[in-house]
Amino acid sequence: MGDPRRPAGASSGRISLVIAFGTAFVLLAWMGGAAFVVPPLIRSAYRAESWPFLNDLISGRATHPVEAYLAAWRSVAMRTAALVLVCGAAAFVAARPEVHALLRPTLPERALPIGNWRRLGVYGLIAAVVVGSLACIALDTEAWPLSQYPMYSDMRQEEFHQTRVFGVTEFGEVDLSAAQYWRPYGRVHLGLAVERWQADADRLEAALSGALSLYESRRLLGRHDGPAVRSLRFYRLEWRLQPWVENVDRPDQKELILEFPRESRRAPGE
Amino acid sequence: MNRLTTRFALFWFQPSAPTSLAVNRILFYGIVLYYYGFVFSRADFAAWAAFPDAFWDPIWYFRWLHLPALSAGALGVLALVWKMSLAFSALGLFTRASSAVSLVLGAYLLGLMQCFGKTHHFDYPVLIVLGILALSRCGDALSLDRAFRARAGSAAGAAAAEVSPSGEYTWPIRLVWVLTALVFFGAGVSKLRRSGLPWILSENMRYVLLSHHYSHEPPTTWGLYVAQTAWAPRLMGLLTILLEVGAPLALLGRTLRWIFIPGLLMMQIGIHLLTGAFEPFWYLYVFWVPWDRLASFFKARMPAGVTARAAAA
Repeated sequence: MGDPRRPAGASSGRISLVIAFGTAFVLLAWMGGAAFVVPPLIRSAYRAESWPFLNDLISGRATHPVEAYLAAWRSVAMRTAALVLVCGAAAFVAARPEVHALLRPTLPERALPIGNWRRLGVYGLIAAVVVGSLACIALDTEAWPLSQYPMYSDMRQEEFHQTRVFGVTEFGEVDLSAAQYWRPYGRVHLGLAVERWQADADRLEAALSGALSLYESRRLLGRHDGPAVRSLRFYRLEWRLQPWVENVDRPDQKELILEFPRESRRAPGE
Repeated sequence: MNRLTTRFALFWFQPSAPTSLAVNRILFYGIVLYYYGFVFSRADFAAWAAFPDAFWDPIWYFRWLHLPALSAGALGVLALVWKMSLAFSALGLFTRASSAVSLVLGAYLLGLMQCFGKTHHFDYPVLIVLGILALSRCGDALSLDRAFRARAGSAAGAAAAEVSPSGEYTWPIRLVWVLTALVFFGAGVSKLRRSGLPWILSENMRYVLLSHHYSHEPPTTWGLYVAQTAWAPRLMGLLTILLEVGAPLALLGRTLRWIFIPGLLMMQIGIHLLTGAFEPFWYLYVFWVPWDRLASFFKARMPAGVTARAAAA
């Protein structure tokens, strides 16, 4: 005998079934589009034969083969599919009436009181966060994990400069700015080290020696596809900002800050 | 003064259902796990062990407590345990313990990343919210802990399964609200203090949009189109300052929340699309969504059979 409270024709599992089928449909449509629709669009945009706004998205033709863009798309597609699957599964579980029954909170009319000591402790935590944050803002300083968040506070100029690291190979210089060469940290750490420790030769030498060793060990482990380098060169590059960044690959100035190791200190044969 | 203190107390401890805090728990720990488990290459914690010693520039509690950078193997284990604790916290399994472990290990691992001469501001509020949730009762609802207690079958289990509305489920959310307001307020004040009105009125924002195409890889070229006009970058600068400096106003009422919070979110998404710079603080924005009201809204519109069967179960 059925549940008399249950309206005729109603199915408690209908919503979760709809979610399940909907998720499966979306996933299949997404994977189909990701596999058969988007790659030809990418190839077409790479050849600048697609719609202008798509052609403009491919800005690194000179430095990246089309396979790099396709690989990036595959990564995005898989992550999105995984996200859709996780969200669909979570929604399916959340829609099950069995789950509702287990997790349904009962709410009596009167609220439970909070003890005085507990309340005092909470106010203490609030005060720590608020006072600490305001102090950092007032003093224009940081004290992890509190900060005044000063990013982008300084004025930008029409001349943009950046310290970049290049590797010296037997065939010439190679730009080693890409994140893959220095993961998990970035080339920014190297640039900052060069800027901060120019007066501390020993520390700078230790830092760059370690960085060069790290680069080589990661290269030998296949963690990146960079070439073998004999030394690192740090340049201060400067550009005059152009409206359409036409000169992004041609800095107006390129000044050598330092080279490590210096020529005289390289081992014979390098 | 009595009215002010009463309003102040109500802001923090107005009794509320545990639903919102529970959903925020799930989303916050889930987002943190996603970013530090799958997105950020710098979250390959074991790799930090190989960073040259010369770069070591420890933050304050690493100095005070003489905390070292552990070996690659140890960091790998700690990172794995941390990510498991984040997952357990999201699921509400052994919530008290897992949220405490998330906080302690997060303080070490996230702090470690700041000890090599460069800080990452995305990480700062994460640790604070880890602390807030570790000290809260975020596992009282929508959690496996509660499900297991309810199934215990004893009188104690039944009593533990009932969750009353309480200020305990309000203050953590409100504290994250205040933290959000302070984060953006600080950013706005910093801009005005260091650069003044020229930050808005000069070519500054135009140069910001252009220079990121030299230093980053923005996901779009829209910033270049915006930079071609004289008024659009200045308008962006003005809106940025207004939203950031005005962020604390979002604490004063629902209408202002609807103005400032979506505005700040759109601003951060816009920054990411136009410049390729940092990720939006998704893990803060989820705390501003009234999940309990959303749940009531959808529950009221679910077919009668579903709610009746759930009520009978």
